[in-house]
Amino acid sequence: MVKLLRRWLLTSIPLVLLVSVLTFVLAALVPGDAARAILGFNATEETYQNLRSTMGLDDPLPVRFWDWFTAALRGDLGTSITNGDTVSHQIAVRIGPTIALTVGAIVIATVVGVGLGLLSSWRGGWLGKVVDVVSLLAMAVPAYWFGLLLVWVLAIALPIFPATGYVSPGDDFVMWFQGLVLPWLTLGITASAPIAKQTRDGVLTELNKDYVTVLRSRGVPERTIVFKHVLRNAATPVVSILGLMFIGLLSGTVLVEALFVIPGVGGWAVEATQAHDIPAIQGIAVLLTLLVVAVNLVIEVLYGLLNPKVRT
Amino acid sequence: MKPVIDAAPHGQGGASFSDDALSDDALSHGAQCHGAQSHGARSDRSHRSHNAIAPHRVSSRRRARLATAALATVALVVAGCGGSRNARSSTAENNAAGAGAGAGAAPAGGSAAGSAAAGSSGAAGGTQAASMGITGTPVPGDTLTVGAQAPATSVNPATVDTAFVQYTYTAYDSLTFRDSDGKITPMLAESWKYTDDKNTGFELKLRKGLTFSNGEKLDAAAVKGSLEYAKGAGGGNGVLLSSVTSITTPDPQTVQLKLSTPNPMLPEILSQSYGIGQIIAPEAVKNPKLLTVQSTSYGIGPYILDPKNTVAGDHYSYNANPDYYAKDARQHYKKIVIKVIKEPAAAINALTTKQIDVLPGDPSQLPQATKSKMQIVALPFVWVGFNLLDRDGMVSKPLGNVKVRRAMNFAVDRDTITKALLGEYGTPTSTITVPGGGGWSQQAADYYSYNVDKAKQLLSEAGYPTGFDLTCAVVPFAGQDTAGKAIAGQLKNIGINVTFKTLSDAQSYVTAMNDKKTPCAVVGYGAQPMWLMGQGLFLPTATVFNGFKTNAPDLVKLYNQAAAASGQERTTLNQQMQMYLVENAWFLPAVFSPVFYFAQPDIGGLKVSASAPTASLLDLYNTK
Repeated sequence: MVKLLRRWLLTSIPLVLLVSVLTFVLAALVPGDAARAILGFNATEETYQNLRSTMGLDDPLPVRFWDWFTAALRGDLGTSITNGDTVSHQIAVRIGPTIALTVGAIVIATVVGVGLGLLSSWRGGWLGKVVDVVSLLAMAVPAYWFGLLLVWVLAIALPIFPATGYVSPGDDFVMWFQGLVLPWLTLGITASAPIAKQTRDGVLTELNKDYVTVLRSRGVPERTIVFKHVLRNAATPVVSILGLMFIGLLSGTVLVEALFVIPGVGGWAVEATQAHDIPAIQGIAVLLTLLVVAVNLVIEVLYGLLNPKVRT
Repeated sequence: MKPVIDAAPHGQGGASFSDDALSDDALSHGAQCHGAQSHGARSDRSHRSHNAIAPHRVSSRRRARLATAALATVALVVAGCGGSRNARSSTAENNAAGAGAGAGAAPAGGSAAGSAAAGSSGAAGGTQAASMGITGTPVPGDTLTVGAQAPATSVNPATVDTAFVQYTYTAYDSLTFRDSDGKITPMLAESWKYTDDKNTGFELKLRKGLTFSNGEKLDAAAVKGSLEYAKGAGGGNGVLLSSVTSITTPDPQTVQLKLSTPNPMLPEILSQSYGIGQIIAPEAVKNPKLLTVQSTSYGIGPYILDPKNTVAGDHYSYNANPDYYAKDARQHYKKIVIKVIKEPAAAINALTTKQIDVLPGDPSQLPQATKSKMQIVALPFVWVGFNLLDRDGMVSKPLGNVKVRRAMNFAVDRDTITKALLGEYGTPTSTITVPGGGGWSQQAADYYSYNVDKAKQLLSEAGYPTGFDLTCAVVPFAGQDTAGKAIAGQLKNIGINVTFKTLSDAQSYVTAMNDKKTPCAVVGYGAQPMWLMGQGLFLPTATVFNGFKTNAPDLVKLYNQAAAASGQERTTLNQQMQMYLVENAWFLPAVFSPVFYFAQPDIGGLKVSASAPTASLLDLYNTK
């Protein structure tokens, strides 16, 4: 485990650094700048140039990066130019909703995906075919459209859940939960399809292996075979998919955040990019990179738990 | 102006104009309709969801809606000024009955506009078109939740963009107040007047006994400090005070401004609509870092910003100010929350499920708003068309010929374009001033009728019988590109081939209009009082939209005369200016795009008018 952590740290630090450099350069290459974004069209050239100068946009790129980097090392990620809030505070308030949204969606995707996959492969027959078709459909349906449909049915036609909004769990846990049900379902159901497919294929493969035959010949109950042996062996690729999916969801929640008006990182990232809000973009990039490496660590640990052979 | 590429639709940013002395410029709003923040956000709107079709729409709307939603964003975003013709106001029931219920909803080209332009005292005259929801007896409300399509670029009144002033006027009273009729009324100042006959001296008398939320007293010195700070704070509207050479305070209740050049619009500029007239407490003027979302507000307003319950970019909470001096007039709730909902489908869902009370919206939301029996208030707002920049023919020789520019104006079938782009909610126009706005005249409005033969004849006379090639800058946001293509399609009929130079961001667009290489640009510009449009659009010193710096001495002379004039004389001069622009075809306007407001059926006080095209949150109240 120590070795794993050391390796993780050794890869994470240069990765964060590299991502921050690349993000800074790419953000600077995008046409337009923050000063015009702030001032709008009618500002005089003089006002515009003054603001550029005040914001340090006239400085060479390496100087700007160095200023940001040294401040970041001191824990100062700067102030967002789009809303005047500190990047650290924005991260603090926005990371919670995004994590809640993503983790809940992954839980639903896992339960639904593994459940359906297992059911279809184990029971087979027409159920398997149905799961295949549903999986394909779920993969094909855009999350945004599915979310709209859910809102229409479960918030407008049958007003069971709120159509939009996010309440902090500290303020009202029940409303927090209610507000996240539709976003969770939106992301979770659409994300469950590849998990169902992978589970089904994995379980079918395992069920045809010799050790299953041996176990059956020994009279081990089918339920035990499936849950204790087959599922565990079929889980490794599923965990890989879950890891990738989690990372994908972290950065891919933009549309769902917009649809359900959740103040998460995704919408902020889009806004910051459009406004050339480099302090915010940098903060988001570093945050997401750290989350990605953290997720990778968790996945590696899970691999180890599932398969002793990969424990090194 | 708020360019179409700007994302921030909403706009409590309007300003209007019509105090008694200045009544001829009845229209206004959004003098500085800028604020290009997050222009990309607009592009999101091109993929917004379109839920259904408005039951009362014309048949061409399906094709139109894609463009419409975006184009209307223009209207919302562009802090332009409202118009009045075809004013609509209705509840869903009214829509079903096929009747506009707005008080004063005027027929197309109606007399309201004409009379306003002829010098009736603007909104104060009560003859202009308006669009309004229900009225009733205000009942104290708990929380008013208002949707906004973009977050505030700043909560500092001195630097806030015109389109975002709702985020500041809620907590900072201004010297004057523009009411929903567009009339300029007392706020922190109880009276004001020009002290000379050239609009270069101005005096305000302040209310007595007011204190800022931090306990400091309001006096002339505080106002002087706030205005001087706003002038140099680096906000886009600071330029509106650039001609102020000195501010003196002969006594604690009197503030006097001296100007280097005439400014007939100070009562308007010092209203809530431009931010700079909202007065900031001396403590925060000395330390502007206090003017962020991490701190409370430092004004004298009906509400006080609550930083603990505010998440920048997501929602902004304001609590009622217990010491406010005019609670009955402007404090109808214990709390106001401005909730940012960028996605139009989410916004209308939030409204119809009563999560929000009021929403500045766009046509894509109309069907659901109608079906849900929401109040619907709308007025034409932003002109969209070509800005024929190269009027001296520096890079496009044909464009230097006035006959060519006139031919282009005759060649465009504005009715068809309007119907295609905005259905019944658009208003065709060949002038840049909305009916009811200063400078509007029937003569100018009728100057260009659709006449391809005449257009061809003019082109032949100019020496271009087979047409020519023209390059136009365009930004693909908020439907400008679609509108541009529609106009270009019509110009092709007379042999003019328009090639678009598509730019992806605000700064590139500004650069293209000013590098004297691109002779034409597609624009969306909120109609304003002529004095402001001069500064933004057509004076040689115009900051952005007169990129080739065309200098027409006759026009400048008219402008200067109008700036120093008042009453009917200024109305006439404004009309002459507008006529000059039309006759010389400086622009090729095609359509006025509307701004929409949707509200719960029991919210009272929602109203927009030609003189006040953006609704004020402070006017709203519960009726039950």
